[in-house]
Amino acid sequence: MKADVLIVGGGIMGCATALELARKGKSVIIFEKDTPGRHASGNNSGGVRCQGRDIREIAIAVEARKMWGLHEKTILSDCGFFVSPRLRLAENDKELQVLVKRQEKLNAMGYDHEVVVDLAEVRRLSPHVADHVVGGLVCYSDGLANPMLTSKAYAAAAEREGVTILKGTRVIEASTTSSGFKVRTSRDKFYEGEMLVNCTGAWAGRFSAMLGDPLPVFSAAPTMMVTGRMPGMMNGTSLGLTGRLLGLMAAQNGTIVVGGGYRSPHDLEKEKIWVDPMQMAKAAKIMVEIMPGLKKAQMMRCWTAFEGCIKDKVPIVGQSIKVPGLFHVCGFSAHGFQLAPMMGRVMSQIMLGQKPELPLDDFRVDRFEDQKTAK
Amino acid sequence: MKTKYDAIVIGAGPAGLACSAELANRGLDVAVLDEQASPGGQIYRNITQATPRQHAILGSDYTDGLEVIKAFKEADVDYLPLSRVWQAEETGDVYFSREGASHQLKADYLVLCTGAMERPVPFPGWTLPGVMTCGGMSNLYKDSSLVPTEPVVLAGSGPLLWVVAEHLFALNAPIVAILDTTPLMQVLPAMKHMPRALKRIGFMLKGVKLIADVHLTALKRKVPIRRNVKNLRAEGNDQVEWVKATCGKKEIAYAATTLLVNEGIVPNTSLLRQVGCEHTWDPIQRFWFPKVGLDGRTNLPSVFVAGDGNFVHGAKSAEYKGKLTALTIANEMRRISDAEFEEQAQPVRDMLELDISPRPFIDKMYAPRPDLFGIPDNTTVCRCEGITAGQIRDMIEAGYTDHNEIKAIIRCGMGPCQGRMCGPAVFELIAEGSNLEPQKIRQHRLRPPIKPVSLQELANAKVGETDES
Repeated sequence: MKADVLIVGGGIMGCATALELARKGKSVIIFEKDTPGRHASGNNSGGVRCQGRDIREIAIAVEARKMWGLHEKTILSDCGFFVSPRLRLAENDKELQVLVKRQEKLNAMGYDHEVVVDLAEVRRLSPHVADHVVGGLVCYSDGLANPMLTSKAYAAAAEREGVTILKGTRVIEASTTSSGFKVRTSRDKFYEGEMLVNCTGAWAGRFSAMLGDPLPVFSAAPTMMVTGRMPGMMNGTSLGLTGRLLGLMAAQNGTIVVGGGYRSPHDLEKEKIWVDPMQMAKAAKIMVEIMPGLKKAQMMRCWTAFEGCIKDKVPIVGQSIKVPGLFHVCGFSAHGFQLAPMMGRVMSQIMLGQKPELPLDDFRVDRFEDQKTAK
Repeated sequence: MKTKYDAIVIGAGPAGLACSAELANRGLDVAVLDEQASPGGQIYRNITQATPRQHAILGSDYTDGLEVIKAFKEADVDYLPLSRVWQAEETGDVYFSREGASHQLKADYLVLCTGAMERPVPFPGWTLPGVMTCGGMSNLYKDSSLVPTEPVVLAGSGPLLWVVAEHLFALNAPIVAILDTTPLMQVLPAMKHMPRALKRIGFMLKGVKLIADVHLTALKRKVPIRRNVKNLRAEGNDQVEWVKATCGKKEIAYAATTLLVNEGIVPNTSLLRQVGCEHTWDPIQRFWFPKVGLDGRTNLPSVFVAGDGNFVHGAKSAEYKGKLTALTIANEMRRISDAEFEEQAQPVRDMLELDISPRPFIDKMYAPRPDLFGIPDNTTVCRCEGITAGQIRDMIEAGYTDHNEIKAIIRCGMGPCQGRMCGPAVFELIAEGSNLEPQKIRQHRLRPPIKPVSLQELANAKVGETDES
């Protein structure tokens, strides 16, 4: 079978890319070894957050945020999205200075979505934070969404546009041909396409190596937990910290989703993760310091998902240098969910040979090599 | 408290007690973690403190437990009661709550003796106060001699229904009706297992006598026993007021404030699934049970499973399985030679085989009836999150056939019980609404902690160092 574009990985990046390409007239086949949203796309903490992002991602994130508000029209699902301002707390004056500097930097770049707020505003947004907090940086338009629903909605939208999603189908071999690429699947079938897209998340480095283009993507198992219902505790505001690891997402039903960079041991080969409860103990320790009322909360459930990470925590997006026609969208390092709508759009633009509406230079696959030569 | 053992046994029911005593007697360092305050599990619950009257009412099926308790007490076992295990790993790590703090222990072998639970079946009104399970009632009696004093209806299918009816009659509880939901047509296909069952004719006769005695008492006290009952429902405003059902073509209704239900017993596999044991579907009893040999071995080299958590066979079998598992581990640790193992294991295997011979008959006779999960659309299935059968059917209609995905979208099974109550029902709804064979349907994944843990307790835990990437 043939298609213009073969996409490996049916997560949200693969489906968003496929959707945009199909709308621009390309035929697309997605190979998904399980079902769409099985790993990080469908099992992340659901943060739709511009606040606190790496400066290099801000332009894409701000544009993506607009698309989150339009999902009901564009993919026929609200994705469970709702606004929950994201407030990053400063626990001392030194941290507050970090936040002030960040706002200045963003303002100079022309962005005004993150603003420093005083203690009164912190308390208005989040009345139960601990007494030692001195201020914060808030993004009022940040929110949360349901990751599984979003992943499925993107997959369904892509299918409606004619994209073929081969579920339960793993790519076993991939190679270049005179006219593009050829892959063999776990069902022992062959497919050909002019272009190939690597959306394989945690498996991105391994997959790309198969085509002779190794990537500095490593796998990780971000670990999250959810508390029992704590009505009124978060007051609808999600929280982050400046000097320590923690993210608290205020779900609408009163539960709190806890993330922020905790990791569990895992085995990518066996697709097995061992949830490390001591990581959650670390998180719990910080939680009760930041919000003493949480002493009464219960940890209901922990979960993890396979994710692809890069050491500078910014993704690789663009065409391979070594293998023309191979494109990468990977290495989102546990914060790609919010960016996905926009990633689909810019990917479709570069794959059709157009200039992307926002520059992608910071996400180049060879940016690490540049650093080496600079040294 | 020691932090490292040769073996940690989880659960102090007959399997856990027999296993840990046997292990200790072979010279292994053993700890037993159990949720209850005293040993015995569900079947021998509170046996060490029970009064003579409780022993008299509950009979030899209960009192027999004193023997296994005695052997356990004589063995050199570190017994940690009131310990709630909330996570176990194939590395031999066990995490649990005790006395307001989180603890971690490690062992070369884990033996999971988590027993069985009553099959949770949603029906209209099942969340009303006053509805409880037969086993729950039995526990109240074992713990604190509680007996219903207001009108009570018993409904369901299986031996436990009759056992509890007998006890309640003996305690003069005001039973107003017994509703047997076993379909009459199930008797015939069960008969082919009768010859094997008759290997234990004493046991079978005891069962027959139990049911006959309950019928006789019911007749004397003018308590109706209805057969072939369907469409069970509880009605009332804030509490059960009426128990209604269909019997043949007739609608029946009884005024009662308590409804005791039991639709069979299933293995309690929460911890087994969390740790990663592979499971198999039983098409007769319609439950998932771990892939475990009678020697207790699972797919994970360090994890063993014994007792009813492996397959529901009853208390005596659980004890034999516990013993066999202990011998297997002792052999693997070279505390007994292969020859000694064979010599000692064979008689236990023989007793076990004899003990379970009536099970195929009982399993078939009391198989879940075909319409058991024909739950009306407006009935709550997930009581933690208030999700109805209709909402779940809508998801299945939309193409979802994986409870994990359904959970992630409509929160069914996301509450504190982690699908322990709604899991079997959601599974049956998926089987009903999709064309998938049950064994091809993905099982609901259990995430640690399998029981809620307070953040304060967790925050006080000693934090081990783990790599951060």
